[in-house]
Amino acid sequence: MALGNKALIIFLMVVGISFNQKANSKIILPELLAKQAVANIRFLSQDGKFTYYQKSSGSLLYSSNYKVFEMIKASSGTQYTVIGSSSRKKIIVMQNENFHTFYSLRSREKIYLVDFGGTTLREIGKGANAQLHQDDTWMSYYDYYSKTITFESTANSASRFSIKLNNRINPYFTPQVVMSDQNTIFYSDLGENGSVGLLQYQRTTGKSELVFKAKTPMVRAEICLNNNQLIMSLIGLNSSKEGTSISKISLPITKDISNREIVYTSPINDVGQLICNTSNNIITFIKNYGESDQFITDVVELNLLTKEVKLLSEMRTITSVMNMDGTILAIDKGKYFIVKGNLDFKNIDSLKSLPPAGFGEAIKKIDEELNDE
Amino acid sequence: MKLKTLLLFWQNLFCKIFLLLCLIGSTNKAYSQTQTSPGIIESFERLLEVHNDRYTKNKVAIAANSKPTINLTELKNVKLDPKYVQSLVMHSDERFLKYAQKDECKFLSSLENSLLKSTDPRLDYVLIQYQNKQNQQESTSILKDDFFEQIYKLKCINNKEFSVIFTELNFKKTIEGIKFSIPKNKSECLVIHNEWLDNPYTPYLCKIQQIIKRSPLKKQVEFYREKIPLVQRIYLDNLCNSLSNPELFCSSYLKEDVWSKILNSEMPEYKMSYKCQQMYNKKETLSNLQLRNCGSKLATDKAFCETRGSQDYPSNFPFQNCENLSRSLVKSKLVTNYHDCPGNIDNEGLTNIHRIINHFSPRNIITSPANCAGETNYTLAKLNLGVNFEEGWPLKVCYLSRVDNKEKCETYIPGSRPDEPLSEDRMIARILYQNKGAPSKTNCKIVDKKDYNPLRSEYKSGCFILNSAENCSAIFCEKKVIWDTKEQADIKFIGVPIFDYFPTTYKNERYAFTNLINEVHKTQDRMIRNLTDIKYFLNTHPNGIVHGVGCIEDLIPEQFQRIAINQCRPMPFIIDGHSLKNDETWLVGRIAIDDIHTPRTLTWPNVFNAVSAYQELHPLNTWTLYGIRK
Repeated sequence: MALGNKALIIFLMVVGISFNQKANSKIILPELLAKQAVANIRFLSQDGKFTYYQKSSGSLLYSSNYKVFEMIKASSGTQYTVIGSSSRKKIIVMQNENFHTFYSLRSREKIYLVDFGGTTLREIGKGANAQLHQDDTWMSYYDYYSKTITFESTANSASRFSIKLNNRINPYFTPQVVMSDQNTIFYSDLGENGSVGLLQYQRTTGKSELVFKAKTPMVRAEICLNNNQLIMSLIGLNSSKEGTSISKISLPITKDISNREIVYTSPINDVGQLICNTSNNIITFIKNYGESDQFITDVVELNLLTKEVKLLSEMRTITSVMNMDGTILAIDKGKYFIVKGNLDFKNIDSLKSLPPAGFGEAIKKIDEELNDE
Repeated sequence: MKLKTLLLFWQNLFCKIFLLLCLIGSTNKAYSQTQTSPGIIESFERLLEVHNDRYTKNKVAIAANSKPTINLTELKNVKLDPKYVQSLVMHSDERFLKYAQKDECKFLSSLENSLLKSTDPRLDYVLIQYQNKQNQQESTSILKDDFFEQIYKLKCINNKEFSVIFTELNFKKTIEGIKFSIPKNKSECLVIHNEWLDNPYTPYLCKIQQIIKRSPLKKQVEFYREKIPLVQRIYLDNLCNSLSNPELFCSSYLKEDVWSKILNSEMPEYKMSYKCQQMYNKKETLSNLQLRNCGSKLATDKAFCETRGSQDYPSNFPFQNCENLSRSLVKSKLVTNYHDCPGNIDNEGLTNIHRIINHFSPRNIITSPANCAGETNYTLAKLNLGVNFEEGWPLKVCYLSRVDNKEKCETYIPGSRPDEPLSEDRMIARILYQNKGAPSKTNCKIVDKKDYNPLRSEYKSGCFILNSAENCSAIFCEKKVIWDTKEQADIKFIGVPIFDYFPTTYKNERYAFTNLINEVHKTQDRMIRNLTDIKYFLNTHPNGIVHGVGCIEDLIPEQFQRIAINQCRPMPFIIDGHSLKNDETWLVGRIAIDDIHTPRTLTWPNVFNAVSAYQELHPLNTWTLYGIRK
């Protein structure tokens, strides 16, 4: 009986919130909630069939159909980062054993590769900023100390090459890396004066060519691929007046990118964090609705054909947006919210999606009481 | 006496000169443009020439009439010689004339302190006029000291007393009792300036200022420089240079930029000096003039700070512009009398610890690109070794002991420190001496691998510790020891200083940095939960700062992106001030990878997001934001 009342209260609250949502037309994002602590989750597949998660004891585990498998066992405090791609063929696992005892932005983490949804790890090397390319046939990672981007074939570890950066000015500079075909890599680097440049590396020649150079060091560049186009954002740094521009460049690039088509501009410095691999001609990023030195940040979607910008959140303080197997997640005040995705909540045992206003707590309480009963 | 009329005469004379100049100026206009006519400056020069000529003739005449002793009380209608007064008006600085015209006593004290000058600025005589027995006006000269000795018995009696309290013997005590008020707003500033104009001490103070600035007597200059603190010296400079110009006086104090405040000694010089040194690529400390030039550049060229100021001390790049930087530095409390190099330190926690410890217990830190990483390591090593916690400093150099043919390991601190027996260079030298038969006075040099060339004479003998600055930092580095060109393969460097910044287990709680600093440096801390709390803590405790650890992806999301769920790169940071801009509170701080002299502004949502995200991943679910004070 008591449980029935609680369910009624929750139902009324849901109705109330839904009504309010319509009245204010405010976008309320569902919070990512799971039976286990969200902080332990490292990867959730879109169809909910498997989860990679970690324990504070230092293990990385794989769970599927109520079966759990320990993939790596390490010392307590070890932190894992699990990275997928839109190709859904491989998964990268990064392991940092001194996560809480050696705070290093440039730490050389252990990098492993595993088949998508698999459990057998292959150790690749040590580095940072690992990512998958070209239908997951290649992966790359960066070493801050040697300033080298290493590429390795995911099928054949003997097939590898590296690109050395020129950057001598910022020890914390992380290059943007995109592999547009089996022969061509685009990456960013810093010039002698600290201005960011975009370079094109050809495996056949082993040479890099500068295709773009920013006019000032107060701009950073992000690149990604969408529908066989190279997307490049240029965003002002540190309250500079550079603003934001996003352009698309048809591939292949013959000489430089002077003929790029600008698809978005803003006089304000946005946050950026481009996500380009969810659908054709659509990219997602964090837009700044405040000032260049006073951020009000929300997630938007940019249509590369119509140049239309669509607001996807109204939280004002979003700091991160990421693509987890096709689901766009945003983080705000330490909590994850689902911005976009086709997660089928009914079929996902470990995942629940509810509006944020106190619902998580209510559900948890009911779960606890249910367990007690 | 007629000194009152004399002043009136002087005032009139000043008007006359002005009128005369105007007249000359207007007459010039009447001439045709093609004629070579004297301009107003030229006319003034001519006037001075005529005046100097007359004055010299007058002086010669007076000299002929000089008397061995003069008693002013015995003379009738004594006043200053009009041509002498004319000369004072002509040659004295306007800023002191304005003060001198306030009243007779101020005129006399200005003259006494040599602020008023005649044609001959070094004249030790005062020229006076009096009525002789034949009722005729006659002029003569009297020794300056005699004149004031006598005149102060007749009038302006207090001036005599002021002279005494400003003698070298007494002035230190006098100056300590004077309030050098720094204005907070314009109306307050104008009042302060006016008070200085009414203050009878002003000419005595300005005399000292003039001595410091202009005297060729180095000993005297040094005497005053030693006795008067820099803040007051700068205050006196500003006061005496703008005595006739309240706007000028106030402009220095009402400027909001940090650079002006530093140059006025309202803020410590280190907030600017290290940056300026790097900006101008100078190895040595900048002179006052160079610092002033740098200050004016920073105040006028916003973009100048964006890329300069940390060339030899690697850190995150680019920097804040000069305007933002100034706004942050004005509010920043952190003691930063050194330059560190986060880019040469692997563990960002170490950089933060170095900064916090040297805020509460500043030590003399040698700032040089070669030493900066060593100094940071030294701070943590001393913190751990100070409480005999060797686990907290596990860096060891291991070697094969000749005595028992077993491997032995000794604790070392990376870098070179002549005063530290555990420093890397001294430790290796000792091992070579004890095990390899090297001379007892062996010195080891730490050199970059790429610079080492055994074919060059400087590397042919002696001890060298090779590391690669490009590929490694002070700790993650494969080092080699070379002695007399031979590699000492048995000497190995092991260990990485991994430590808890905040406790990660209850077992090792005592040795986490946050507890060690309280034990060793007698600091106190408390958790900070919200923005009001940060502001309250920073406002309440003069030396209090806030430090914490948060995910960098939330602290500066515009530079560091999160690409996977629960990805986090923990970044220690310090918040040491707050300001209000557009009705929003901004926190002033440095994340550990920032240049120490380039604080940034952070918003509370970013700090909150960063700490919250890290808390979720922390083994003890610790909220890692604390206020710390001594």
